[in-house]
Amino acid sequence: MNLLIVEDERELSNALAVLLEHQGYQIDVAYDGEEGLNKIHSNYYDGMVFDRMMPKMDGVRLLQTIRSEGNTTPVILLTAKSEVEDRVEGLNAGANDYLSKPFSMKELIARIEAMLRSSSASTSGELHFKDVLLKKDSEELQSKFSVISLCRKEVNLLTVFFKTPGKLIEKNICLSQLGPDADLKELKIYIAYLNNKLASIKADTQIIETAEGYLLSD
Amino acid sequence: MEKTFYGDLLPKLELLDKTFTNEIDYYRNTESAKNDIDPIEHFKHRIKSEKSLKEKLARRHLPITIESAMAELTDIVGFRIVCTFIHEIYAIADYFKNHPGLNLLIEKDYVKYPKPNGYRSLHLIFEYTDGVLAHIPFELQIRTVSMDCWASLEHQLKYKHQIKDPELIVTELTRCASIMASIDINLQTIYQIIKENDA
Repeated sequence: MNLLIVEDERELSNALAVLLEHQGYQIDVAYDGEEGLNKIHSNYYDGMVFDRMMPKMDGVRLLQTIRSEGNTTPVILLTAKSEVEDRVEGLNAGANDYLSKPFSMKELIARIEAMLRSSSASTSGELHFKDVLLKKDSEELQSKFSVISLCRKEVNLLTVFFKTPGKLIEKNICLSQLGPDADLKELKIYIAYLNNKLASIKADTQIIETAEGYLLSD
Repeated sequence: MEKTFYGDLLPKLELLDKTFTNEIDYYRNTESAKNDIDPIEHFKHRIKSEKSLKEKLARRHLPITIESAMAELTDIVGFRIVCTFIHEIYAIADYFKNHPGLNLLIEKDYVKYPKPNGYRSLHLIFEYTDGVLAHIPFELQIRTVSMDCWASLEHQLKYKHQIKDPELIVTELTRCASIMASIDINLQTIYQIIKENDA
């Protein structure tokens, strides 16, 4: 699994990276919020750890930005403060969990594992939009007229649209659903596959391309 | 194949079989000449055997007579066109629907509305409007290679009575149908992209 650590304290982030790599994760590290955002736009991550206080863009703003873009990757927020208001602010911004500094590495690893478990449980199952059902486990798209199979990449891509219908999703976010090697040409083909599959089951929706990205018509 | 059951009607049915086969060949030849691509992957036709005709009448609790067969069944003479892409199904269907000598009696679109088991194909029942062949219904089935491949396997399994765990096989076959439909759409999409690039 791929994890991103966005933490400006280099000693801490490097120690975290070594430890988590030892646990079998692929780790990417960014040292400020803006670098973190760039990495999120260009890579796919299963989970992320953000420091609350960082130069350029703090952890809460980074979180708000990616959530507003439709990115639902689970995030743990590291905070030096343990005040209730800070914790609430982090959770409200879209954090899945938080941990107050100083923390034990053991606890952070346990929380990451718990977050990834609950994320994979909540992203399994079924998503509805209009008259269409996306069955993620069986990788099928179903309407009252017909059912059609999807591949894993199509399921991942359509999941983002089904979670945020009518909202513009940036092309980079769409790309991250196709894996690290995907490019815009490949994305275009996958969007065309999905649109033809939506049409084939007579779904009352299509994915529309704009200059900035794509959105699922509602 | 014995077709004595048809009696005096047999020459007429054979003429219908030949005539519509010629229509399909004509379509195929003109389209191939126009576009340099044969729109038909393969083509089959048949007059229903006496045995399967009688079985079908019995299944439907109809009298086992040629009169009831001609009055109630629409697939005594049947044609199946197998093509490569989904859009070709509808292009071929449109050609025959607009054919001046033909009248479309029934259209069942199992491509857009598949059967619960996953069966996909376009079924059209036509009749000739004039002449010696007028008002004898016949069936034209049009489907893609993958739809045909699935239907062949499903047909074979119907005649294998000792299948272990038939429910699982039916579920898996239905799943295969939706995977093959998905591939049909991907191929159709790639075809469209190539066409757009050519334009």
